[in-house]
Amino acid sequence: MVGPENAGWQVAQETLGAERGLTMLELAERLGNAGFRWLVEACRDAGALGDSLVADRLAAFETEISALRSMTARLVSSHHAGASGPADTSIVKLYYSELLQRMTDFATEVSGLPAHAIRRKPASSGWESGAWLLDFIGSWEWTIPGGSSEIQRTIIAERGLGLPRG
Amino acid sequence: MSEFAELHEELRAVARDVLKAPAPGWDLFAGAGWTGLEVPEDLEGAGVSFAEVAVILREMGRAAARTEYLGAGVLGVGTLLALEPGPERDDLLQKTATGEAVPVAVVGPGPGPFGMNETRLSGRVEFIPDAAAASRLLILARDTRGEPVIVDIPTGTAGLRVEAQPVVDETRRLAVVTADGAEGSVLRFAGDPEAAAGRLLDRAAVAIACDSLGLMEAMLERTVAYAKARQQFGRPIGSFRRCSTPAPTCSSR
Repeated sequence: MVGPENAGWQVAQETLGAERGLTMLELAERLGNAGFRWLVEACRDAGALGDSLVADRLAAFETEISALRSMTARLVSSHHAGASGPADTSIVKLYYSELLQRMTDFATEVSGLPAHAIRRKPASSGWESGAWLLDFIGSWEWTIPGGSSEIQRTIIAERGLGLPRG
Repeated sequence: MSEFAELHEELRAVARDVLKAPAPGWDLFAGAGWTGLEVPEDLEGAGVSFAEVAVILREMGRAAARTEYLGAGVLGVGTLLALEPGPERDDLLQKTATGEAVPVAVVGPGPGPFGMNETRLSGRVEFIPDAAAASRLLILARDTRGEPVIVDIPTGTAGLRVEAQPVVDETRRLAVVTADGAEGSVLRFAGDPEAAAGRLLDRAAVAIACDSLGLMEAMLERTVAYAKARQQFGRPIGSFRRCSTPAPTCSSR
């Protein structure tokens, strides 16, 4: 048995926290570098870069990616210092998974029908492979398992903000 | 309930039943009278309107049916009905009603991709529904004067190539249609050709919308049924507001 009896939740949070920090750092870098670059390329290939709505969305995504990368860097350093907040990993997981979903959704929309003709992802690809429709479908593997977005929001509300239990 | 509403209810119930068959296809639909719904009665059709076809399309969406009804029964028939009456058109309409012919319309993004050099057609367009199941193609093109026309070409004609274009959604059968100097017969639209071509695109859009509606209704129903049946933490998950909120949003849209 790992940790004291009946303290499974706390033990799980501790191990998840350690794992989450470094995992999220890598995922944020992948999404923010190659992921965003390929998204811009998809917009260019679709002839959509001149569209002001598209440009606006890309600017918003770039801003959100900056926030994500700053959050994940802080998550790793605060965990290392033993100073993580009780809802930190939930905040990062929620933010990353929903950003991934919105970016892959937007990329699928901009790419149009050609995105539907890509039926395989490269074996080594990450959550943002450029096979946008498959990436979008895959993004639900982030927003549902590992504590769904709804559960993460409850954790943030109760443990992070101290709001009363529902 | 108005007379039409009753008729549509009946049609909907029959359609739902017919679509329970293991591999519903063109022959089944011809037998049910669906391929000839809009074909005039004197050409062995039912002589009804798109409103009735819309009922069928919604049920096909609900069943996520994998058929060539959209390309041929809906777009093909719609294309033929938009043409100047004539023996070639009437013969095709009749054969569609009986199920003998499967004329798939190649409407694409409009007549732009295809042009004519005398009687020879050239051009290429992607993502055409059901072209691979066609016995003949009705290709929207511009003639030598730039006027939108329909070029009727049997499948297998020299210079015409239809290649299946698989997509992630395995219930759709799309294809790339390429013509390279293929010979076909030119059929003219009744009335203003630009307007007629525009209406074909509208028809395609509405048909997809009907299909999507049926699909969404089926998904909403299944989600609600699951939320009522699935239990967690000692109660149906639908009783947790976070689980039940998306359903009313979906329903009101």
